[in-house]
Amino acid sequence: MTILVVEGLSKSWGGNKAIDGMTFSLEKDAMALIGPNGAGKTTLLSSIAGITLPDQGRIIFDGIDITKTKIWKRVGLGLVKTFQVVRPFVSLTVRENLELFSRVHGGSDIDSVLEVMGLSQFGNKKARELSHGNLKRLEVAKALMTNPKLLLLDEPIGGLSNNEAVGVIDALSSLKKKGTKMIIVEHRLSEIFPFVDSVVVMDKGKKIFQGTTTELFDDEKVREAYMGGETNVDS
Amino acid sequence: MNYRFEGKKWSRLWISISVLIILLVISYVVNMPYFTFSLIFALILVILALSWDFSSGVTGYVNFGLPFFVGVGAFSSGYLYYTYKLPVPFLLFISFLLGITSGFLFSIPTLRVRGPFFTLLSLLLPLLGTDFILAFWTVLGLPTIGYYNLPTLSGSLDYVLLIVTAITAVISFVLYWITQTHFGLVLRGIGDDEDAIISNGLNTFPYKLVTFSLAMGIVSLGGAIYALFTSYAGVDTFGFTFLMYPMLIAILGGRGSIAGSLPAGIIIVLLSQYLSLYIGSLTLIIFSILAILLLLFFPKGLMRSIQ
Amino acid sequence: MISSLIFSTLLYILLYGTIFGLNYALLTLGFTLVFGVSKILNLSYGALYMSTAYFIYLFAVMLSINLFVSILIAVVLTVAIGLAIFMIMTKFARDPMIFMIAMLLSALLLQYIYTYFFQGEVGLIIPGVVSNVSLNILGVSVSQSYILSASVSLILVLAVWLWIDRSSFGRKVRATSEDYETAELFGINSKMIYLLIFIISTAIVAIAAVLIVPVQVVTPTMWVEPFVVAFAISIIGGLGKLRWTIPAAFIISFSQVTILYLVPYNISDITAFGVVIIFLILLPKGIGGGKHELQV
Ligand SMILES: Nc1ncnc2c1ncn2[C@@H]1O[C@H](COP(=O)(O)OP(=O)(O)OP(=O)(O)O)[C@@H](O)[C@H]1O
Ligand SMILES: [Mg+2]
Repeated sequence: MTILVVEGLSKSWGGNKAIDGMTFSLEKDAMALIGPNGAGKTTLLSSIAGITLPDQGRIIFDGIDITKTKIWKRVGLGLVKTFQVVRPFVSLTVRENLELFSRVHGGSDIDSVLEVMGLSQFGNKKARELSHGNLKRLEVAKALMTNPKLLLLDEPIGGLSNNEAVGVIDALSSLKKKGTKMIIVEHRLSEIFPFVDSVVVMDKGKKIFQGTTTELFDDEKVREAYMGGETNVDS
Repeated sequence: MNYRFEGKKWSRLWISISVLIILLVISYVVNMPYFTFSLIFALILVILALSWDFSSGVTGYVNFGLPFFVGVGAFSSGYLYYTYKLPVPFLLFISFLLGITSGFLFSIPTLRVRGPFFTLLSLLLPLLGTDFILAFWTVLGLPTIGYYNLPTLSGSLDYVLLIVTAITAVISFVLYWITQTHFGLVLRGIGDDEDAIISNGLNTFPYKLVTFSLAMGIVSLGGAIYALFTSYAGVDTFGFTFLMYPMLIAILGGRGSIAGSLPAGIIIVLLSQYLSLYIGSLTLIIFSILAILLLLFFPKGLMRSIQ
Repeated sequence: MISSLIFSTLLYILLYGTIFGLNYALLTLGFTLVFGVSKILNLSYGALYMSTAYFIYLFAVMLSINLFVSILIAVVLTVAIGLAIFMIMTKFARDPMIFMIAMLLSALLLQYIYTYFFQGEVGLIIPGVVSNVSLNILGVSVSQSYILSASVSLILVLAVWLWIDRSSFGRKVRATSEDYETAELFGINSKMIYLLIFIISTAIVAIAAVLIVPVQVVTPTMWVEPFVVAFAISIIGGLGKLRWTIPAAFIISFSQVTILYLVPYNISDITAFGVVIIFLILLPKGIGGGKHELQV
């Protein structure tokens, strides 16, 4: 069964259409959602997660219509999103950041999550003392605490060094092997493409491409959206 | 779970409780009624400060409603005494329960909103406290001037101090313990970034509801203790003294620390009590100026700011 | 007979609902303006209202200075006090919690100061700019002060609203309130805008006091009522949303006048509170609307 179906989703911010009739479904295990800055990727993920209320459209997760479901209830169903700009609980330690969610959706084992995300040695450090790279990992780790079936990742390796990025991608690969499905928004295509099964490209709120990574580079529209330029940009 | 219950975390609370015991001993040794009296007054304000710190200090929901709940405690113990002649422990306990109930009723609509909206609503309560009492009491045909000659906690001031000390110690211990549990973790998370908690699957509303109901119950208990200490409950129990001091104490003791309220409260209240001996009716003016300056220049608490 | 009673009751409710509504709108205007532009809750707002009243009493009654001169001095002094509080708080308060608490304490400080210097006397009376003789409108008596204050309120509220909505200064104000960082990039000095808006807001509340206090009495706790009114209305209208001020003010004033007519106790403030709670449950973001959303 398809775990996620999105139908005709639209959202405007004061007249400016951030997403405009998006329709897609998650067919395989991991999908990349890409597009230029301001394409509406974050707004789309937020609408799916319930952080933003869409103006129109339906979202069906695991066979249930969740368009009007509260955010925290969606997490309970197994759907969780990370933030593009990390939002750690700065006055808590790394371990406490995770322990907060130890009772959501059955909860995960804190030590194994720390292990998977490579944060074991920082467990007792205050989150405000972490480096940016580790905060990005903590952001994913928090989401993992909720035992998600579908993980929505908003630029999980944005702003990381190459080494750090490899660490995060490895962790995501092992999750994928264990059966967690995910949608990844990222600008660093070369690093995530080996790992995803399909790609959706957005531009100006609309879907302009859906297919595999190999099909992607032959697509005229996609090239136009990126203006034939360098796609490997960080933001 | 257990790692947080080991030694270091608890040491600050033990320091606070030791301070309390030392003061108790000093009070017996010096044997000056004014000192004992001031100390009791200080501890009552510390009780209020503890619950403000536990609710607002930790979560960041600034609650200006304390005087209203002090009034609820004071008035209900007055009412219960005159109507049912209940003994003192029952008066305290029922005031506590009524405080929880009214805190719960207040929290249901107001905790749905955040930041300035919540604060404004909470401020309406004490502003309207007298109106409420006058309206309801008139409807019920009860005395609006207040209740005089209430029974005291104990005939001897020393025993009163002992009882209030014990209650303060128990409340400190319980609230501190809660902040160290998973429940407390959620409260601290709310103080950092509530939306991040909700979007990661925890509904914060029940946590806030329980916290504010319990905290307001403790405030009402404090109000009842105050009424039984002065053997009077009147409209002036709604005064802003019961907001100004607790907030000042909680913040100067270190927001969210619980343990800091006790030493901070004793210093501040004893200072202002002895100050008032010399400057009389100017006390409120001088003290509010002092309070504003302390808040502006020691926002992280006396200890942390000095470090 | 009965129908004429119903008629005069309705007229009474209509007339006083309108008059109070307009006065309330004026009282709220300054409060909601500051919040809308700078997201600052001016908790000293009611205390500034009270300050004007005490200054007029001091100059016009105690020192017998010409009323109009006294009013002028009172308004200027009120603005000065408001500005001093604003500057100190914005400069030194480290976080929103400290800011709000220190602001409330400064309101209390003013209350204590007036209690001390006027020996806690309650029920002082200040003269109004028009006589206090009542007019008879179709059998309902209305004081001239009320009619004046309601008219001036209407003019001022509309003037300020149009000014913010239409003028080039208003555009700058709106730009600052939406996003002060971007506004700064476009060369708008947002600090200056905040300051000007605060001055205007304080002047508004001082003028409201000049108009309304003559039909009330001056006491050290008189700041509570305008405060509650301004809170209630700005919460119902959605804090900072100017265009909803008058409708929200009418909601409060008409509920108060109606309930005042039905219930023999003075529970105006409680009515306002109750209306706010009801609105909060139904429309958490005020009648101005907007769904509750999190920041992404
Ligand atoms: N909270 C908001 N209020 C108003 N406009 C918004 C808001 N969030 C996003 N937008 C606008 O919606 C459009 C889409 O933004 P979004 O953040 O979804 O893009 P994105 O594809 O995630 O971009 P990026 O790659 O830079 O993260 C942009 O024009 C943005 O300015
Ligand atoms: Mg984005």
